[in-house]
Amino acid sequence: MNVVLAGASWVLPLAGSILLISTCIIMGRLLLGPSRPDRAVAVDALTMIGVAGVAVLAMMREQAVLLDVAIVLAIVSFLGSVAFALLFKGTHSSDNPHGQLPHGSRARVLQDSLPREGLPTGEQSRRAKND
Amino acid sequence: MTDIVAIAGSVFVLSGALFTLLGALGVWRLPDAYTRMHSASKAGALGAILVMVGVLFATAGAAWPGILLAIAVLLVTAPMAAHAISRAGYMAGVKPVVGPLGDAMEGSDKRAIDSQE
Repeated sequence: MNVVLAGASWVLPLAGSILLISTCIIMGRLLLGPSRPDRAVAVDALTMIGVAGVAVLAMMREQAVLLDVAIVLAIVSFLGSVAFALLFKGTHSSDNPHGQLPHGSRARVLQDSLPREGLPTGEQSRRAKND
Repeated sequence: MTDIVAIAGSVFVLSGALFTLLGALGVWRLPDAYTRMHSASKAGALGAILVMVGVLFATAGAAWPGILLAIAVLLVTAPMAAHAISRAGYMAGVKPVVGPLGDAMEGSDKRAIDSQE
């Protein structure tokens, strides 16, 4: 892999330093971020920066193998983000403590995980029997 | 000709790094998780794609199948990951910071799940 860049002596270090600054900013959001989606977003953005950084590293070292690393990192970051999305409360059928539910009951699982308002206890138990 | 390709490679790599910095600033400054998602997924993915195009120019197209595959993977997966995280966050009860128009998805989360099944 033959890399030809204009101003190669300073372009790649400058790009790498900009990526490092971005990483520090997003690490701050990852540590502070008040809610779980904030942290998941920060991890997603970190992997995007990782893809760009691996591409810059591939140009600095002149090794085409590192581009494959960038591809795999993009795919794995998607899988990781989706796994984080499943970890939020009340969005997965594994939140139901009673195991397997009949068809079409996912919405009820979600409603059960939310605090109920204005429903008397007898109504709740009757509903649970009907489910 | 070689000069033009070399200059284009440098410009693409630097602009990609700058877009990534913009996305990071958006993740730091924007008010709630959904706007941060918007900044991270769009500006971050565009930055990574621009760096990839810069690699394409700098190597004069030597590794083009891998680079095009990486760009395609980024274009497909970044919006899907952002959508999954923001949807799961809304279902989990994370409220967005709303303006005068209010929350357009107010009360629609259960209906959306019902129509899915």
